[in-house]
Amino acid sequence: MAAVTLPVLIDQLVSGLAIGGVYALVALGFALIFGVLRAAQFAHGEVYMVVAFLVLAVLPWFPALGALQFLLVIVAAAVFGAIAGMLIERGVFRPLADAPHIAPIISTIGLMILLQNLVAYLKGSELHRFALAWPQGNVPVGPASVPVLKLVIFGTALVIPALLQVALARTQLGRAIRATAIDAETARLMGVNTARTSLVAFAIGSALAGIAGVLVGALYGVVYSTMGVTALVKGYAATIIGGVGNLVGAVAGGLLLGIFEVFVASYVSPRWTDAIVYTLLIVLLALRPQGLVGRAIPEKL
Amino acid sequence: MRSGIYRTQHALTAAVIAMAVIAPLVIADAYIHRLMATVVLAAVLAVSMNLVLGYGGLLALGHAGFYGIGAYTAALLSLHLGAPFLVTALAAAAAAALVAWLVARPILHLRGHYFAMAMLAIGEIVVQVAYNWDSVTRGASGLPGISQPDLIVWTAVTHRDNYYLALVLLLVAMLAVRRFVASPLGLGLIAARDDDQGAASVGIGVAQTRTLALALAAGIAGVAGALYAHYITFVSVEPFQLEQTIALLAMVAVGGMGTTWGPVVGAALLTLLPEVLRDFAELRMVIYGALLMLVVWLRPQGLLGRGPSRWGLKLPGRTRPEPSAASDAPALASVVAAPVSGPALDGAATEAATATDVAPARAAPTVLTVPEPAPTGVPLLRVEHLTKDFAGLRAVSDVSLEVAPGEIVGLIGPNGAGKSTIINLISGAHRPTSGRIWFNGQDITNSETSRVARAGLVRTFQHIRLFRSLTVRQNVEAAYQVRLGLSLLSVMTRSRRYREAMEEMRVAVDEALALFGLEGVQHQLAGTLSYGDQRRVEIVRALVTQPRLLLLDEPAAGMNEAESAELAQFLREIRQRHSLSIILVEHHLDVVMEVCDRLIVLDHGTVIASGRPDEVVRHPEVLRAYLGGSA
Amino acid sequence: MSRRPLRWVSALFVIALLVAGCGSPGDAADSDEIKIAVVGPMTGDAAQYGEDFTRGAQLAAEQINAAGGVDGKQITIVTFDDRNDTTEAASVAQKIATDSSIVASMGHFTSSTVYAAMPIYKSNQLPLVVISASDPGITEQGNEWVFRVSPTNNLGAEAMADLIVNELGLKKIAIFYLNTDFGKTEREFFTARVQANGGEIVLDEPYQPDAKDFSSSIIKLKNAGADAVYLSSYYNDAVLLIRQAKDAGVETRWFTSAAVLSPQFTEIGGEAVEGVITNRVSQGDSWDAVAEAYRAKYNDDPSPFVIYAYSAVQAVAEAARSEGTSREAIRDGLAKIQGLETALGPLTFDENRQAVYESFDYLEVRDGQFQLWQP
Repeated sequence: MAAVTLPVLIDQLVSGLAIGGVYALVALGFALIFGVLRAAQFAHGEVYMVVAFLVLAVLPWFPALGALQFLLVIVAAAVFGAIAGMLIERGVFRPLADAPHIAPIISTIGLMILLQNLVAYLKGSELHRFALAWPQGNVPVGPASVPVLKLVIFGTALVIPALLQVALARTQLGRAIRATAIDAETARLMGVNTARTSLVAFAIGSALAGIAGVLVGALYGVVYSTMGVTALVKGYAATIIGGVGNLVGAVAGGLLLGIFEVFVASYVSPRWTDAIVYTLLIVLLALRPQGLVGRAIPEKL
Repeated sequence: MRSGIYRTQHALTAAVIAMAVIAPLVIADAYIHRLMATVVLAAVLAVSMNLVLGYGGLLALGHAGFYGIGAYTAALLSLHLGAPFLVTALAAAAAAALVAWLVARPILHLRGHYFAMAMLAIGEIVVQVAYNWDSVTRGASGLPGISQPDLIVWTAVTHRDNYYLALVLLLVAMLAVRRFVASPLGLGLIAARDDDQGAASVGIGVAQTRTLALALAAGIAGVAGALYAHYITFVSVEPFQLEQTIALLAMVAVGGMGTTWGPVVGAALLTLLPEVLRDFAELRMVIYGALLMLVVWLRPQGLLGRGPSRWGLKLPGRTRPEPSAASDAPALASVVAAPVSGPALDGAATEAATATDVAPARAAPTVLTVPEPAPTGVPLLRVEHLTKDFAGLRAVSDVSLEVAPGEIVGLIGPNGAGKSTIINLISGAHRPTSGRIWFNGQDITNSETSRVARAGLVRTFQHIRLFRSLTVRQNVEAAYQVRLGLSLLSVMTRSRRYREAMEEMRVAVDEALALFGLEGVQHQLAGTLSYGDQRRVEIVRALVTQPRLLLLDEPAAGMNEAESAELAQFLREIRQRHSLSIILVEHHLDVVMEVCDRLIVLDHGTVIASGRPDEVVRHPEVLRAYLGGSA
Repeated sequence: MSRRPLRWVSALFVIALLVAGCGSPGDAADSDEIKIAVVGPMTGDAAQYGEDFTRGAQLAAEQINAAGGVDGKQITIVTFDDRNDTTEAASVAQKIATDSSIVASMGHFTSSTVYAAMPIYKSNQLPLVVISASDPGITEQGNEWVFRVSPTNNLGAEAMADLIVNELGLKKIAIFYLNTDFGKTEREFFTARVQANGGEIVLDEPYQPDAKDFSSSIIKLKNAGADAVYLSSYYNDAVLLIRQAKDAGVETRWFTSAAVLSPQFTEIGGEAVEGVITNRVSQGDSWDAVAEAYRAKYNDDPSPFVIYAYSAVQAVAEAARSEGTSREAIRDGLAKIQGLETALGPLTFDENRQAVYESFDYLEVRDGQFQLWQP
């Protein structure tokens, strides 16, 4: 096992923050959709995957000019994600608005199976290379030398939620979203167009998933048809860790999850990482059912 | 008319079972036999999942883990000890049920998605342990060479043999689930599903009932796992992962949650579908996913679920509860009807007489019987210096009050005064920041709602919390059954104790319903009644638990003058008849003045006045609180 | 409840069963053809390998048929997808075994799928030729219906250990291994041999089959002071691991197991995998000849699995020629094979029905291709 020195710790921290950043974006998107529609979007991971493939398809048309390419990739991911989200909201959730709660869950499960296998059918289920021209190389952080890519990913995972937070607080649409998340019925009575709000929330949430998808593609250098499954489970877990419906919590949960995974894998065992993470998740829920950041749920039964 | 449907349902079931038994004798293809065996095994799992998800309302995202625990337990016992199937199956059931029991307790108070995530985590942990604990499970290599199902007198060798064995298991599982769900325990489970706070408020141990259901379901899944292990003779981690749980979820939902045959239909459909689509190779699962979405869209409540389909574009998928006077009685109602003496079927509301096989009812306590009157001179309820802070906001501040036996006390105050909070604190929904609450000599300060209710302090809710998928009668029964204290064993075996208890309940509930004029509507779904009637049901439901103190949270909300007057009369009557104390939180001052012996006025979390109604309303502080200006 | 759904659903069920029952195969064995089943992962993550199997088998069938078949009888290849899943493998094996027109089967990619399917071949008395699964235990089970033409994984691992320690003199070695039967057994043999040769394992890192993020392991590698790294992995994990390590600035020499041999490896790996060294059973001229034909048809180099599949078909054909075309005859014929000329060179089954291997070659990735290499 590696000696615990500062460069090693920095290395590990940065790795954790990078993958944690990806989880954070997925979780944020999931939480946003859940908060507004009270619906668990099981196809969220597939949006992440499909967008990654779509961007891969259009990548050859982007000028391979350093940071410009990166920016275009992010924008394209957001756009594709938003469109996918709106299609799903209209096509899957809207028709089941009055149905029993379980119905949209099953429907999105069906969508998840469909999309995963459709992409496997069209593009093959093997790994596909996803290479960006920028960022490349390493940069010194303290005594360690870390990949620029990881820092950029972490940075993106901070900037985008921050922008979102500002938009939610300052714009009318943002306020409408927050109102609908608190109480859709009341919001509607107060004149909020909840139908449009749902659509927008879904679009934003899915855009976030799409961005996460291209970021992870860049991080590992590959995309593949089953990549959405892990994203869904991790994103769901991160949302719970942070506290359901809590946006800041979702981001914090994602980052913490990523860091935690790296450290457990490094200092305990890569084989038992998942088991340990899940056990601690249960312990966390047993002790603090509202998540780390969530508001206390008052009712006991 | 009812018996006609009953006969048709019976015939249909018999036909299906006959077909299931005869088919493999007619079709000789071993591959088909294997397929059928797989379908039946999936059906067993779906039936167990339905118990938790359909009847319990719990999103058990780790259910396949119990299947896996059963399979590995059976495999290890068979390989290391040479244990035969009967032994391994029992051990598998026990192991799975035990794990379910252990993990359920800490997480069952979690709501909704938190619970789902915890269950998912458990499923994942099972998989990871199976995968990595090489020394025991051989990790990814799996455990080969397990003996075939040996039932001493016969060993299941061919696929057909195993199919029949699985069929027997399925029928046993369905019977077990049916028994549970049709029993008072099942009633408690469904009540908790419909409204867990409402269930707790009448003393139903929500967490305990759910744990029981989860353990039972896990046990069934465990036996299925044992059969799988001996049938395939090889166990590895793959069939026990999240993917399988998700498939089970789909099976139950597509078949129809909370129905008897739904999970079987769902399992058959979703297992056969990939087979039928086999020729499509890679497009197979694409089509599967699309079909899943299609079925949900067309019939969101599941194929056998209640309610209309969407054949056009405009029909909503809402399941509108229908009054049971019509011939199509709702499935659940029939399942949970008074005890029947054979496998009852959906769609038939039966009231099979149990008189012939049960000893004549002894003089069972009924709703009329007054519980041991509390000692006079000692306050029934004493609240001392109660304070509650919510994240910086002090909702209740140093409130003390007492309620004597037989007293009706009104708790009034402007909006936001803290009345509901006090009710929540007293009834156990919230924990006070400081202060004490004594009830009938017990300290109930930190007790949870169902415990408080069982001690004799029952509350109702501002927004009526009836169990909407149950009939009026069943709502009352769900509350009554708490005192029966039935065990799982007595329910499953329909023991003498059970039958006596059921008879006792029948008599008591008949009486309660008659007393309050509800016998005419007793078989209607609770949600279909008028608002006033629903209120009445809610209170009757509370009353059958023989409380000493009723906490009524704005019972007159939404009522007009006539209804309020009726309510006031009603309250006085029940206080009289049942020697109750009542705390009444109300805005309708007419009711308050009419009924209350004493008033307590709250404002901004503190008591500002207390005394006789006529005095209190003239109190300057009270006037200021309500009117805002100077008296 | 509405009784209509239950009625038509049960009716559908009956119809489905009848249709399935009537449409079942089980045609009498057509005596004009020799039908061989090829089973493996045709869809999913490992689909590449299933494709290798299919192509190899079909190429062999074509060439044999063109030269007159087996005493005039044509070889037909039918494929089956076990999705690399153990339960599915057992199910598919049952399907294959129930089809009496099939006289031999080959494949199942991993050792676990082979283990899951083996009892079914035995109970249905259908010969199975394993063409990839490398757990030595498979041919040690005493199942006389199972043969294997591919090597067991101890051989390749030991060959690599000899190369690294003895011939290249690299003593401090890190090993990353896939946490499955395949990865674990390879690691065992490799580690034992390294230590026997006087080398030292400085880092021993398992990873989960679907792992994509190796950052924590790579950080350990960076600080382990290894002269060489050995990967007991398949091509996709190897590729990810090597890339991520290179990106993190790790400088070392990379060695992998033979399972990595696949055009996918070089395609996805690109620059990052230049210089990676792996091994393979020695190819003779016959291998080259088949590779030539394969290149002509598919415009790509064949992986070893193609060759194993090809050789398996040759073995079955020979068995049919010498003993007959029934399942038992083919089994008997296979058991008798000694020094048969196949794409693999002379093929001989030992008393456990395991093909015997003598020597291994080393390959290096150069200019995006696997090329022969000498230390």
